[in-house]
Amino acid sequence: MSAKALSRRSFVKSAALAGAAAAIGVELGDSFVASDKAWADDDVQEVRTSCRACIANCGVIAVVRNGRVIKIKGDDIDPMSKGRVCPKGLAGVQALYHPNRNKYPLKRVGAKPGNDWERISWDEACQIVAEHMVDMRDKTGKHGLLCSTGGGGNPQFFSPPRFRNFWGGGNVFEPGCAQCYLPRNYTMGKINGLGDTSIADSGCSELYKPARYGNITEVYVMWGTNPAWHSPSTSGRCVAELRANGCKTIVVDPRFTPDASKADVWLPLKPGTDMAMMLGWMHYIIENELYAKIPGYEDFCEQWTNLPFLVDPRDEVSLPPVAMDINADGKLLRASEVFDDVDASNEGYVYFDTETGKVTKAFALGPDNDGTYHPQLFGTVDVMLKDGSVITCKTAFQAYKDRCEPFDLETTAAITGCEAEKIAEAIELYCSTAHGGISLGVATDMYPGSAQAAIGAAALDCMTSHLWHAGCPANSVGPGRGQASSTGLSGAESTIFPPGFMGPGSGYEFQKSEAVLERLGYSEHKGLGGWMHSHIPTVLSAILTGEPYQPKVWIERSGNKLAALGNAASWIEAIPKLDLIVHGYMYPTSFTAEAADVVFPICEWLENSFAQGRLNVNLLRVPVTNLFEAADEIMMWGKIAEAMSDPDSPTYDPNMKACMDAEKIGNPMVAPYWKTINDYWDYVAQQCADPEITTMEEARAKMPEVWCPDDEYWGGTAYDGYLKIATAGGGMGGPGGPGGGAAAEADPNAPQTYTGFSTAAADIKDNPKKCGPYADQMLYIGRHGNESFEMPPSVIDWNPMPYYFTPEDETQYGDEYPLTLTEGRIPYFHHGTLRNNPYLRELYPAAEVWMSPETAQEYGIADGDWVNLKSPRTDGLDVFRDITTGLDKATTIAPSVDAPNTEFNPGKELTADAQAIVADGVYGVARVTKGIATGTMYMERFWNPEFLQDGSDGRKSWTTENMNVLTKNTGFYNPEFGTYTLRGIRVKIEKTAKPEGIWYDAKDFQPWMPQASDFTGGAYYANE
Amino acid sequence: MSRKCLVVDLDKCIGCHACEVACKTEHDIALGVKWNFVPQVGPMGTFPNLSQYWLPLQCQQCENAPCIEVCPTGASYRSEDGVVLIDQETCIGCQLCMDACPYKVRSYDDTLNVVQKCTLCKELTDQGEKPACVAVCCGNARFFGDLDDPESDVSQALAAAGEENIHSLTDVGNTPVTRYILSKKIADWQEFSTLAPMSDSVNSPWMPMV
Repeated sequence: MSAKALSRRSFVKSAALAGAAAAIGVELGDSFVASDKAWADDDVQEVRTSCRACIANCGVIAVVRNGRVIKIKGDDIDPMSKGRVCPKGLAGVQALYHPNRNKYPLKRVGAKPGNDWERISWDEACQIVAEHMVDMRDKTGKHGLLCSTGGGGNPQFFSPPRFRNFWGGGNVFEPGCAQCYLPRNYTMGKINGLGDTSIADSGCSELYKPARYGNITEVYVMWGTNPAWHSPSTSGRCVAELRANGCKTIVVDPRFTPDASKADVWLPLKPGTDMAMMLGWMHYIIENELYAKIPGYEDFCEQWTNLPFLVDPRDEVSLPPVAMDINADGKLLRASEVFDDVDASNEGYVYFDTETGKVTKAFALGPDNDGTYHPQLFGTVDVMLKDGSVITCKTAFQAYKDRCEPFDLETTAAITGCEAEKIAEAIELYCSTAHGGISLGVATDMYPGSAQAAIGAAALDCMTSHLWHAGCPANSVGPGRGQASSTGLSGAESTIFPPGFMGPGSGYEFQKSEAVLERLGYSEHKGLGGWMHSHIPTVLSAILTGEPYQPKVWIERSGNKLAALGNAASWIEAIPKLDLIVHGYMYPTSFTAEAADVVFPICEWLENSFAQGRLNVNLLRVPVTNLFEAADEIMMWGKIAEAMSDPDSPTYDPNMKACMDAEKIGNPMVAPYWKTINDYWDYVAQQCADPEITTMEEARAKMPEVWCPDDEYWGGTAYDGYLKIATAGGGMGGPGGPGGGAAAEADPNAPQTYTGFSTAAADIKDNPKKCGPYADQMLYIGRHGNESFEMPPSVIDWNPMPYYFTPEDETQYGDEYPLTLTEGRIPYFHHGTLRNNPYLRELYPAAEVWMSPETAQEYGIADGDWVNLKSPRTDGLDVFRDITTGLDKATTIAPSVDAPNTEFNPGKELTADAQAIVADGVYGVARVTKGIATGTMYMERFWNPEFLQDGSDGRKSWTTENMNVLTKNTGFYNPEFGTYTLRGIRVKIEKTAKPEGIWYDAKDFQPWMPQASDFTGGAYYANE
Repeated sequence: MSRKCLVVDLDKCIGCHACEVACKTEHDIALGVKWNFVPQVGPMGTFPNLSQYWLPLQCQQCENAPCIEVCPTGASYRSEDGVVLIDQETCIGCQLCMDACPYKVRSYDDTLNVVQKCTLCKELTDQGEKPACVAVCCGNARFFGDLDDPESDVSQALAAAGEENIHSLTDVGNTPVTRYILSKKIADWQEFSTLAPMSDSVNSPWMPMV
């Protein structure tokens, strides 16, 4: 494109404005860097990069004129976005040049909350943190460290556990994690043997297959996911293309989302009733024997699932307090209990064979034994044990049948609020073909049914033989991770891993087992180990009580914790309990004003670097410019570590020296920290999976690139991959991905088995290779953990099947709070981001509150009215309480379900004063729509950065329109992940006036219009 | 004379508003000024049997453009290749054209004292690129081209859609060129003249007024 094609005004004006720009919001001293260059001619360049306004990483092109980014365009090379760009990505220029960017490290000089700061150097800031950490270590130990992050497009999610693991103790959390993606990510693969089906997170590559390769998805269930709005350019575009190609769709969502408006069936279920809907689907599938009627795969359930396996009736699981009336079916019967020739070395499962009439040890199918496996699916079997005693065992499918027995169509309809005929229509459509499946979205991860719904959705795809057949969202396509294609290249990704995450290191012990065991809430909620996180409510209680130990130094690297944490106000009293709070982000948020002692300026995505495979194309996010003293977030962690790496310094810590040293770390998957940003960029370049690229300079010239040709990537996908011949029988290896050829290479001397599905518990050594809708592996992990050492059992067992419970707010406060509230995605923002972006706030200036015309009429509300919402949290009825003074100090686990001052039996109220801050409730704009059931409401998460402008009351930035002061971090946390309740809470509503100080009209946002700055190099640029 | 315009397939539009942001960033449009906006129409029907679509609105490139007729300075004009445009140098900001426009898709920039509207991204399309809104469209719902050219994207999209699924905004003698595709499987087309927002709040859905 020629320079003349561009018609600009604000960026031309901006250089003149820059010198006069006043400090806005948090006091920042001086401001932008004005251009002093006399440009003879316009120099326009197009830089191919990858967006990070959300987690999708769409390929984009930054148009750079005279060193300044003026425009974002799509890059056609990206096979997922196909050159499309969404509002969040397009907002990147305004985000980059936002006048309120954090520009330099800051130190608080005034009181909290407040906005009085002093500019300091990076070295000073790091030294402050180092002194506090070493002081903490010497006085009370390393476990006082708390690190946190969040969504919002964080480029390196593993930075906090990485830093904590290097340090050797302490806790990590993320408001998402147990409330966002971890439950599905951790659970679904253990059920279906393939992986989770989150189209927002995993990609669901199968759904992107070009139609010319045939076998596209024929039926697609979007359950609690909103692709059109969470990532319009990637998943939204993908689903639009699927529909255009004839795919039938079902949407299960309280909201009439864009995808619901185009679906064949929409089930507007009441928030929090997903498990009831799933059990209803299972009931219908079992009652009508649909599991045996999937065209072409009538015997899949019998041959390839663990549903025929026998359940050990002697094992009654401990039940969750919210569902004490469910059947207590427990672990699957172990073969060593039955057969003399089975012990721990060849442990297995058992089934009853209808041909031989015998209880038999389950075995892996292969070409040499096909046709010999005739399991009984339902009913009970008398089993004689080794010791001569006889027990009566259900099959796992019978246990499921018993579990979903109450959920006939009418009951399911009554609980979920959906019409029975619509539910039946959805199930029949879902079961009409094996070519498709369910994408389970974030909705269920946001309340304590997270693990249960993840089991349920994956189990449904097992029962209905969708797995590993063409069109299933759980499939992955193309060569497996790390496998090269015919080009010699492979898929790229530059995620940096914590020590201990990708296999052991070589000798240097950064972290002892004791430090892992004392992570707060981990022993009870072992699923958190999947991402090495801690349990948020247990962390909060520990901060407030000092038990079982006191967190002291908090390093937070994300946006606005006070917009993202459930029952946000309950955190205010935690702030003074910490010795030092560090905030690293691109711009100030409520958290900065309320909590931070030290602020690190962090790069926007246009300044960052990351290598990311997108199907068969590798993209590279390249630093397009670098402004002020902002640095890639990795430098914040690395420079803090470096400040403790000098043995001659009083702030020396041996671990922090070792983490700068690749040899000491001894694991090529775990990189040491980098001393300059250029070193890091070269590291990222080396992760582009192209042997010819070793430096960022080379990468800039060569990336992006196609690493696998289309025909090889898509055409080579092996469906029915579980029927491929594996190298050996037994074993615990993963199933490999469809198309992963290595696992299919037959060893002529090995038993002839199929790849199958690996979902067995860790004690099962003779793996029958079935997919596992009956979650025996989950139950086993809850009792033993998944670490290199044995963990104490969770007080409440991990139940092997999904169960439904009425949301606690409904049972406890339903009378006074008559409306059920959910949340969800809109296309303008990702989590807490971009509420300070002028073009986006112009389009969506305030939190919308959806309600039906009937609900609106009942409360005298019209569309466009401002409304006020209150919940048991804002009204002092449901106050966060002590759940940690009763914990065992070594394991942080409750001694029993009756122990006082634990999550099962909380002690005194801890945060009544803090929650009183939000006693006035929160505000939003009424959106009256038929697209939501009467009695259900939706509210968008919001916060108001305008209250951080000079002279404003910063506290109002998170108390005015913040849905998360209504949400619940108390009560029941599920055993697996400790998930608390962000959706399906109860509220009351009334019409009100617009709160003062809120920016709503388009011109209100003028102070946030971009003011461009020249390249400064940023912090730790080598040439500075 | 050609008939250059946008065609929008409402069966495919997913209401993501990327076209609105792309328009604003492409032209550095002032806050409060819109050349392109996308109201949600509906939902209509009886819960849970609902229908809804999004209706991207911008200059409809009328063949008998009333905005040109009322303009006292000749600032509103038709270019040599048939596109309705506003000369920003000649415009005096009197806003008569805004009153004349049947679809209210012109917008007044009070900082510059000029009326502005969709230019079909002339500076891009003259160089063979797509308009910004078409290039970013996440639903692959927007098309640009000349209706008189059967090979153009717009002509091909319309040909594939079927006559019964092709609509235009209410014609009051101005003959809008822009076409919308909407099939009954998604929603019944609502006559533009019957639509109004439920309230004056930002983002308020448009509903058919009985």
